[in-house]
Amino acid sequence: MSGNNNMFKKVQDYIVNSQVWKAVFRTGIPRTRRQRMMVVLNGVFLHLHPVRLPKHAVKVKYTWCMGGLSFFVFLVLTITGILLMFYYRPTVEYAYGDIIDMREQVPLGIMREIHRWGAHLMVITVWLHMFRVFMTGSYKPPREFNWSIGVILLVLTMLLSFTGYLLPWDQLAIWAITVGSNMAGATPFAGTGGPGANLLAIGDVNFVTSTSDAKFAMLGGRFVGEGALLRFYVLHCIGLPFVIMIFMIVHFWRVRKDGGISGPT
Amino acid sequence: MSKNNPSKPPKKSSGKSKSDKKIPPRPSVPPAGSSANPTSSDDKQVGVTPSQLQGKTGIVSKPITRKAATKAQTSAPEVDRRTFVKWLAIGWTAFAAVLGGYGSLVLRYLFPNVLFEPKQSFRAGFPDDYVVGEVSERYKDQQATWIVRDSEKIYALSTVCTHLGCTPNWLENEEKFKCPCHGSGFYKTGIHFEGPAPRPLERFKISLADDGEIVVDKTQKFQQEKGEWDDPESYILA
Amino acid sequence: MIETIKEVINKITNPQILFPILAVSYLFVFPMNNFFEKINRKLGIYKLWTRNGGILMMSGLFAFFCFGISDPNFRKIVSKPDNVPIVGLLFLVVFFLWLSMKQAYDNDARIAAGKPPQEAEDAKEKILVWPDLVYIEFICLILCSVLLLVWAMALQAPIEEPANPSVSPNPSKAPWYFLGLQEMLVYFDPWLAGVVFPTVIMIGLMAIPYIDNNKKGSGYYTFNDRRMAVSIFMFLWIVLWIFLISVGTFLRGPNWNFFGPFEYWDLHKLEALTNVNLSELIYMIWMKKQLPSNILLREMWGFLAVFVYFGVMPLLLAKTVLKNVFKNLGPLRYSVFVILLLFTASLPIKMLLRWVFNIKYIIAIPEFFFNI
Repeated sequence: MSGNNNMFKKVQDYIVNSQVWKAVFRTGIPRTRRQRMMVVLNGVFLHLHPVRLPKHAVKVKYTWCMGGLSFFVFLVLTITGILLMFYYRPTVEYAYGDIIDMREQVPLGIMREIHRWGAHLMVITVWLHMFRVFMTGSYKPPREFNWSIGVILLVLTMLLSFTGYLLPWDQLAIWAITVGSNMAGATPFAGTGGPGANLLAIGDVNFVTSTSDAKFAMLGGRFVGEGALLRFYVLHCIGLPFVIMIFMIVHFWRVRKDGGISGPT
Repeated sequence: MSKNNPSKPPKKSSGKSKSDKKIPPRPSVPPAGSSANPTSSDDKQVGVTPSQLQGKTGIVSKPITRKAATKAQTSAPEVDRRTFVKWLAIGWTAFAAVLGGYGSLVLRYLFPNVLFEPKQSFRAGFPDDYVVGEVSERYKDQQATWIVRDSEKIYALSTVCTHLGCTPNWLENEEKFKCPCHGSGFYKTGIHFEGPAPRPLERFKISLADDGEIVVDKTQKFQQEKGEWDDPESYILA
Repeated sequence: MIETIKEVINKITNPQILFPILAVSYLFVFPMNNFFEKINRKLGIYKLWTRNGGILMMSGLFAFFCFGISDPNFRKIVSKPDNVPIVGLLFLVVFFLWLSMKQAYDNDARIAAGKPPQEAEDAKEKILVWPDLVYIEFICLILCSVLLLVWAMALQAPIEEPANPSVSPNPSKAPWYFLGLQEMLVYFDPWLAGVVFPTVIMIGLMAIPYIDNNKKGSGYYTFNDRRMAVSIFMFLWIVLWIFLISVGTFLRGPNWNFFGPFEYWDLHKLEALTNVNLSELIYMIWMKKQLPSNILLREMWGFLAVFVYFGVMPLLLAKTVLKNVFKNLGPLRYSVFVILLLFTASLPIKMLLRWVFNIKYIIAIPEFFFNI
C-alpha cells in the first residue's frame, strides 16, 4: 500500500513540478490561504468573483443560486444551440423535417430537448433570480442601475425564447408568431392595426401601410412566411445573443463594482 | 479632473507622465477649452487642469496634488465652462445625428423593394355552386376566404380574425365563426358580437368574369365600420 | 364523493370566482397596513411562513396534483409537454415564496427583539471564495445539468403538426411565459395589451429602485421594514403574473372558454360573451336612445372616465389613501408611482367590468383602431 502511495506521490510531484503545469497553473494547488486567494485573483474566469466574501453571501438560503444558474443555463443553451445549427436549415421547405430528423436520425438525439427545456428553465431561473433580488431589497442604492440592466436581460431572455419558438415551423410556432406579430402591427402610429396610423398620411397617401409598418419589419413580409423564418433565425442565433452578451457583461461587471453581492449594512 | 476638456479622455497624470516623456512633444494643438483660457502654463498649475498642461507641452513634470486639482476646477474661468458646454452640445448632437442616420438606414434596410408573394386573386366557380344560406369553406385552405351566399347576394369573407390574425372556425350548429385564439365570435355576415375582436371580418372584392365565373380579388378589402359593405364591388347579386 | 369534490373545484376555479377570492385574500396574507396586519395576526395567517406552514403548503399543492392526476381531463392538461415547466414553476414559486417570507419573518422577529438580521450576523465572518463559494457553485451546476439531462431524456420536446396557415389549433396558446399577456388580450385591445402594457411593465420594473426610496431593508429578507413594497410586488408577481399564467395554461380551453381543471374540453361549450361598449350601455340601455353619430359625443363618457381615472384619481389618492406615500415620495416619484399603480389596477378593473357588466370597451372608436 505504502509503495503504491509513494508511486502516486511521485507521479503527482512530477506532473505538478513540470514546466507545462507550472506555466498553466501559476499558483499551484491551492492549499494555503495565500494560494487560495491567488487562484481567484489570477484566473481570468474566477476573477469574476472577489477574493473574500461575507459568509451570508455564499448561503444558498440567501442567494438561491439563481443568478449563477441563469448564466450556466445560458451557456448550455449556447452550446446546444450551436450544435443544433449544424442540422437545421431555416427554410419553410426544410425546417420542420430537420427538426424531426434531429430526434430520429441524429445520434444522441436529445440535443433539441436540452435546448428547449433549457430555454424554459432559463426563463424560470431568471424570474426567480429577480424575485430573490427584490425580496432582499438588493436593488436599493447603489445597485439601482444594475437592477435596470437586469430587467433588460429579462426582456432579452424572453425575446430569445420567443424567436426560437418559430424555428420548428409547426402549428404551435406559426400561430404564436402570428399573434405576436399582429400585436406589433397594433403599435400606435407604427402599425396598420394600431391607433394613429391612418393619421400619418398626406391626402390619400398613407405612410404606414402593410408593407411599411412594424409588423412588416418583424416578419419581412406581410404574413408569417419565408422572410419571417429567416429573420427570426438570424435574430435567435446571432442578433439577440450578441446583445444579451453585452448586457450580461455590464451586469456582472456592475455586480462587482457596486460592492459585490448585497448584504445588510 | 479633466472635466473641463472635452477633447481628451480623462487621464491619470502620474502614471502617464513617464511614457509621455519619451515621445517627442506633440504639435501643440490647443485643446478646445484653452483658447479662451487666460492663464498660461507658467501659472504654477493654478487654473490649469493636468490634461490641458499635457496638451500644451506634451509633458507633465510633476503629478498634481488632489488639492491643486480641485482648486483648478473651482477657479476655472466662466468663459471656459461656456465654451465647454457649447462643444459638448455640438459633440453630442453630431453623435446623435450620426447614430440616427445609421439607425434610419438600417430601418430602411428592413423593408425590401420587391416582395415575392402568391397571386392575390382567384376564380371561385359559378354562383350556382353555392347553396343559399351556407358558408362555403372550399377556398379556406388555399385562399383564406369564405364564400357566403345569403338570400340575395354572395360575398367573400376574409378568414383572418380582426383581433390578432388567427383563423376562426365556422361552427355549423351555432351559426357563427369562433376564433380559437381569444374567443372572438362573428355572425355569418362577419359582424363581431362576442370576445375581443374590435371590428367585423373584412370582405374581399368579388365580381363575375365574362364567362360567369366568380372572381375574388384579395388586394381590395371592404370594412364594415367604414361603411364600405354597401359598395357594389363588395358583393354580387345572385 | 370524489365527483362532488371535482365539481366544487371546477366551480371555484372559474377565474370569475377565483380571481376575486385571490385578490381579497392577498390583502390579508401580505398585509399592507396595520388594519390588515391585525386580522392577519388574529387569523394566524402569518403561521404560513413557519416550517409547518411550508410543509402544509407544499404538501397541499402536491396532494392536489396527486388527486387530480387520476382524472383523465386533468391528466391531459398537466402532462402536455409544454405545460410541464409550469407545474414545476408552481412548486418552485410556492417554495421560494415560503423560503423568502420565512426568512423575512424570522428577521423581523430578530429586529423586534433588538438584534440585527440573520444576514448581518453571518456577514461578520469573512470567508474565501476558493473553496467555499466555488464549490457551492460547482455543486449547483452539476445538479442543474443532471436535472436538465433527466428532463430531456424523460420528455420529448413538443412538436406539433407542420405549420398550416389556414387552420388555427383550438385553443392556440402563446408560449407559457407570455400567457399573462395573452390573458390581457382578452380584456384589452392589442395596442394596449400587446404594446403599451408590456412597455409599461418594462419601464415600471426598471423604475422600481428609483421609486422605492425606503432606505431600510437593503440586503436582508424583511417584511416589516418594507411592507408596502413587498406587498405591491406580491400582487404583481403572484396574483397578476403567476396566477394569470396558470389560468392561461390550465383553465383556458377550446374557443378560449374557461374550463375547470376536471372539466371535459367540449368544443361546443356555449358561453354567452355578448359584450357592450360603455357608450352603448349609457345611450342605448340606460337612456334608451340611438347612439349619437358624432364620435366625440358618443365616446364622451368614456373619455371622461379615463380622464378621471388618470387625471383626478392621483390627486384624490394623494389626499386620502396614499397620503403618507405622497409625503414620503415627493411629487415626482409619487406621480410616476401612482400612474404605474393605476395602470396595474386597470387590469383587474377591466376584468371585473367585463365579468359583471359585460363591458367591452370604455372608449370604442374602431374607425381609428382606438379602443380602450
